[in-house]
Amino acid sequence: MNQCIRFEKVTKYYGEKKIVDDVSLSIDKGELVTVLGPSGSGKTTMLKMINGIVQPDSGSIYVYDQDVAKCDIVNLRRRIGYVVQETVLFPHLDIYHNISYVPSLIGISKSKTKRRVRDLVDMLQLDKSMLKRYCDELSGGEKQRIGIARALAASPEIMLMDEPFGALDPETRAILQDELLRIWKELNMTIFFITHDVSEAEKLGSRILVMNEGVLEDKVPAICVD
Amino acid sequence: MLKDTLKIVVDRYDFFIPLIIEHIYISAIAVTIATVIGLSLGIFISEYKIARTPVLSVTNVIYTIPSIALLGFMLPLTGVGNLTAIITLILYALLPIIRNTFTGITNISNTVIEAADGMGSTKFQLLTRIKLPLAFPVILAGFRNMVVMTIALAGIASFIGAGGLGVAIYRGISTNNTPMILAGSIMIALMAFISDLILGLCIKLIERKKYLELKLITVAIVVIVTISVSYGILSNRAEISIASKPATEQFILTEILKIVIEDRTDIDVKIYKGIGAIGSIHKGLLKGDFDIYPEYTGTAWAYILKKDLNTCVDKNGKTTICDREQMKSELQKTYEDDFKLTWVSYYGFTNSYGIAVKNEIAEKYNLKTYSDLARVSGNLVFGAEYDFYERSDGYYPLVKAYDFSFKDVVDMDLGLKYQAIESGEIDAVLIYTTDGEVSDLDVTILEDDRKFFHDYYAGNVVRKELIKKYPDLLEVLMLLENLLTEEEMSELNYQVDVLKIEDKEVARKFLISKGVLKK
Repeated sequence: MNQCIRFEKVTKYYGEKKIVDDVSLSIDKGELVTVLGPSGSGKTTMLKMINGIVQPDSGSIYVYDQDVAKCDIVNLRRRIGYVVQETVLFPHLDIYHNISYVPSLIGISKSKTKRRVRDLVDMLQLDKSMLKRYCDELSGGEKQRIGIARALAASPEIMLMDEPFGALDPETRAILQDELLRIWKELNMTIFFITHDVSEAEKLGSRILVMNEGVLEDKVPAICVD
Repeated sequence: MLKDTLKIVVDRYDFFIPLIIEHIYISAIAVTIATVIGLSLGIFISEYKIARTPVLSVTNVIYTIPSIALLGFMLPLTGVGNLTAIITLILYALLPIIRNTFTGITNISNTVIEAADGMGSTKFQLLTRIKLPLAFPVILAGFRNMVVMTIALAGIASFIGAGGLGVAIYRGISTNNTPMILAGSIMIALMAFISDLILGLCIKLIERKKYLELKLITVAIVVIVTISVSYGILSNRAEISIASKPATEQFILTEILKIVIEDRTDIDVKIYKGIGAIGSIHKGLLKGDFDIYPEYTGTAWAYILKKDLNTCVDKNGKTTICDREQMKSELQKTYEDDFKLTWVSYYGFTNSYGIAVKNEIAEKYNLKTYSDLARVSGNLVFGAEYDFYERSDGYYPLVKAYDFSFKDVVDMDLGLKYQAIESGEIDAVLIYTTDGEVSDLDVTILEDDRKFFHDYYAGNVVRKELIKKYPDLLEVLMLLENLLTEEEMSELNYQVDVLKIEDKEVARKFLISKGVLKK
């Protein structure tokens, strides 16, 4: 079975407002789904329901056929890479410990973690000397690379990315988009990518979804990746 | 004045150093326990919002109680000494640490928490790896406040018999020794200031992420605190605890007791000087916190037994004022039967109350007796120490007996009332007949023409259990029987109060001169 993430008739209210309206969706393994939509359209809520930060009012979400509401959520989250808007790096940890945060939660050995961080530094073309520094000394592009490295650290099969490149200048954004595509192909991951930028959605997405006032519509990408 | 203060610090460093160590010991224990409790409560209320209001309100209310009141309130619950002081300090220290832990945690940006949560942190990992480290600067700021406050507040704790630099201040006040008061205060201020400086430095180092230097400082602090705490614990292991009221005479008498006991036996003696809270020494003996203290028959009669002064019956069956022997036997009986305490060895002198007025006032109104004073009392201000207003041989019965109606009445600390009469703040003052300072004052002592005041014959109150434990002690204490006349006691008080000789030294020289102690 190739199905990876499945929404079944999911509805979510914030107070009176229906933010996600009866959404059903199925994402296959290996897809890079980009979700387009104006702010307040419910796309971030969709993403947060996948790793259980937000619970639906009705309907269910399945990840690998496991009901998110019923499974061991901490374990599930450790298997899902999570990159947030403007990449929240932990300010009290140096870059090394930011990247190795999830491995340290799981209790992976120090030597293994060290190797993994080294690989990630290479993969994301980061400067090794950066590892001992803290995030307030970094540029936006560097922070975002580290955010991606951190999300990849525990070798997840799924990545949730919530407008990760939104705050970057166009040049850096383009570079990081290319790298994301490269990593996606290399690791054969499933990625759920939120953006409000149409060209970004079209450049990255193997499938593009459009979210509008809580309703989801498929959109045929202008440039097919395949 | 500054020179005198410096001199007293240099001359009596062996007196101050243990006080400094004890001050650190009391503060450190209070700070440590308060931090553990405060952190836990702070974390708890940041996780469970429902507990937030009750916890913060209760600690807020405690914080607003005046420290003297809280100490007095704790006395019947936990007794006299360091324990009560530490508990009180902990109660005060809780608020800053709870509030800052709570604020620090709840002010962490929600996106950071959500990111850590979304990556699969457990609740505990979220707390220890994200929330506490991020809240740490705020918590540390609260900790800094709390440490400085605790060090300052610990100075008041000697009021209930705890150690620390407050002892120096309290002793200074009791013996009218201003350089001593200053020395104690300055040392407390310095200690608070240095702690503040060090913690400020720690905060800076954290901001600059210089963790190595931070570790070094932490190690240094831990070493100092450990030494002080172990010293404090070890030094509290005296076998006999002697308590003293906050008065020069009592300081000298307790020093005499200590010197004689330690000279004649192998028993370790610790003196708790200047326990001010009314009646707390007697309660301390009942609880076993103290073993011995010097007391006066009239005071015990009126204040502990709460009996009237004239309740004895003479040969003809008439109620009269009790004489010394009647009082002694009645006291002995009640103390042994009701309190499991006993009176051992009377020193041989009486320290009675008296009333003195300024010479100019005595001349102006031609005052010789209390009855004379009553005539003009409407124009005069009277001053005495706090407990005099609460005794059955105290102010109100006195006023009734002589029909006094003073223009104003002031209560003040024992050591301050002579300054007050010198400066003219008060016109008439309650004195003790053995006070060393009275001879130096411009005052006239009036005659108690209606024999209101009573026989205050000095002796020792001892726990009976102690005598059972150390049978030899009785013989040693009997060495003090009839050791001092009234004139001798006044002279010793004068040496401490006016000549500023250390009480220990005065006691030692006197014992040598009497042949009790060999050189």
